[in-house]
Amino acid sequence: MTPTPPPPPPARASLATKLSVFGTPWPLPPELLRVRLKYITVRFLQMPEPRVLLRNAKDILRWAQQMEDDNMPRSAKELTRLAVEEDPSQRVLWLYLFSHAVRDGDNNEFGELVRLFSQQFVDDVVLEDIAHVGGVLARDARQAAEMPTLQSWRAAALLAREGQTQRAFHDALQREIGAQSGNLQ
Amino acid sequence: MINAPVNSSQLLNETEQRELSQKHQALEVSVANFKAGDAIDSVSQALRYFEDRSRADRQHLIAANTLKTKGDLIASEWICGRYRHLLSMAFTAMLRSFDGVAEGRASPAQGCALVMVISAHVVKWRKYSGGRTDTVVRECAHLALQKAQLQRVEGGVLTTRIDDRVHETTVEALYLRTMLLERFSGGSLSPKRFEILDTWLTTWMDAMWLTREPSTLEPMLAINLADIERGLIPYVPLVPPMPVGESEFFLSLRPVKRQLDRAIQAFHQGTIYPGWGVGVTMKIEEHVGVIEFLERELQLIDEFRNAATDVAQGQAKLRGKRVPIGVNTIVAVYFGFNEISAQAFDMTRAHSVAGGGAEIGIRNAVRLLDISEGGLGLEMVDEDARRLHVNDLVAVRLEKGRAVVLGFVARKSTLQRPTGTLIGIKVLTKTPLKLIMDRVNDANQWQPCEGLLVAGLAADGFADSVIMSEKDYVANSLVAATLSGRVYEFYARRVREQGNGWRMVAIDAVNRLAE
Repeated sequence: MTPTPPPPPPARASLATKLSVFGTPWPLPPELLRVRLKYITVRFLQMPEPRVLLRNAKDILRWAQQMEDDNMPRSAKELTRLAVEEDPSQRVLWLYLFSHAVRDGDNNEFGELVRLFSQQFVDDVVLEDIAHVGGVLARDARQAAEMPTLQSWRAAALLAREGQTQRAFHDALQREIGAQSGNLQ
Repeated sequence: MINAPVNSSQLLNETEQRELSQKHQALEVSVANFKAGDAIDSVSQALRYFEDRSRADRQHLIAANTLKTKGDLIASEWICGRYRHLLSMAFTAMLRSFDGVAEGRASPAQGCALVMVISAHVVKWRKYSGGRTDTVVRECAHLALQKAQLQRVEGGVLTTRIDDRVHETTVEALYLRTMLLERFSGGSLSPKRFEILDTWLTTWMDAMWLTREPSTLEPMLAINLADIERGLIPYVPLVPPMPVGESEFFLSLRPVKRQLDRAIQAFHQGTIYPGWGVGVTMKIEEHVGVIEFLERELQLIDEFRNAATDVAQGQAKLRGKRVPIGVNTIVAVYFGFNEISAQAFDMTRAHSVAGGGAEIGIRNAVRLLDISEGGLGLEMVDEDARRLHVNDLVAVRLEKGRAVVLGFVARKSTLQRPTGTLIGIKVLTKTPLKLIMDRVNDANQWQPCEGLLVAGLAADGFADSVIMSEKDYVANSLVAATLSGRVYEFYARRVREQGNGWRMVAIDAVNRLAE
């Protein structure tokens, strides 16, 4: 009689679906998922279908940039983290989060992102740049924020935002304000 | 269960209210003869009894969110009055416990804790009944903390009951909860949201502590225990550093931000933070409202500090010229979009300190109390201040011959002076530009409209905004404005700030046309 072979080990989930990026136990039970989705919908009103839209890196970056323009950097970061949690394979969003951590001068957050990113993207070419930025950040946050590599991870650069008309408008507005101040003196 | 309907038969009727008030009056007489510790214990029991009896009324008023009837107003004023009476008794008992030998069932530290707990109730119910925090709360809380510090009991852990929950905490933590509630009570939170905020602060209070030394590396709030006119205010590092006074203390905001992050993370994980308290049954919208409120408040404090530090270090990057403005001077103030648009940019008025406000009934002069890059403090007569609301648009001419500073009312709080109210203004711009623009209306025709242009700090122009009247603003409508001899077309996009009658919206420039 042939002995029964031992049962095969359980299939390993791919890292992309398993990674519990920012502490949310994944997958969430339905009742908790309902609260999470309701929260996202209320917090980010532009998102009627959060589970679909959070997987669209370009839209997320666009909204994050708008929030930065509106002086709401914390919301921009929160939205991006939610999107990364929903689909950790959105590499471009990780780069944006790195730029945030550097701008905030937050070494701890940067280190944590490095740890999670290198789990998700083993041997990624950008890891070398990240290590370099991390080294500069540890010494001087302001210098790190001005590094060209870091600038290329900002949402505007990642989106390749075209802004000539906007800049021209801003310059004209500044000139007009200057002229008005002169008239009053 | 705040959202659970309250049966009207559960509410206290006038006779029951009077009976409770009389019990408090009788207690006040009798505790004077008690040992101090026993007096503290008796007031503590009276507080619990009052909360049990008034639970339905309090739930009803908080759930209503706004005072809908005269009866609601009377009921909330009565609750506030009862808490104030209890505070007065607790404060007296606490002082006695420090003056003599600590006798009786409760310790002096427990007396201080009781004063802090009741002070927080007074802050909340003053706000709900439409009043503002009075100096009595600050006086009681400051003095209770000072007494505790003198006896070195402010950091000792004791068991305290807040609403229906028992907490192991310290006098200092309770003090911080009260003073933070007091700071945030000047903002625009509804009673429901304020209750959620209170639950959060109660959860966070043990993660916060006062320090003797300020830090220049992180945003902080400062408090002076000898100054009952002010509560927690943003700390601005001085250059060169000045010695810190004996009664000055500092609160780092980093732990507060970390706790807020924890709260947000809980929602990401599908749980209602912190899992207990009145907020558990409230809608997610109310919780999100509190998150947004706190983010805005913390950012305001950050901006205030950064700007003030820059100024102090002579590195101000102000777009307008900085002028030395004397505080306590009369300034010209204009109220609301229409008045600002019609009068604040009028060259004939530019050399006068006569402001507007006639239409809404402002009769008295307005004084400048303090000024920073991000905000202004104005003193108004109470009667006038009542006509102003949080988020109302205002323009202030600080000096004759200068452009107006444009901002909105961020908070209202009381001043020690009997009839004065401090109006906190968040500055939107110090150099607004008024333009007559054209916008495409619903009939797809160009139509003139007025707008106040606000240049953002970002050099790329994506932070630029236009302030329009509520009736003129249509999301994503095309607008044309002439600047430096050229016509620019832009879309009036999302709303960045708003208030009664006005919207400040993002500009999305699309075309630059030759004039």
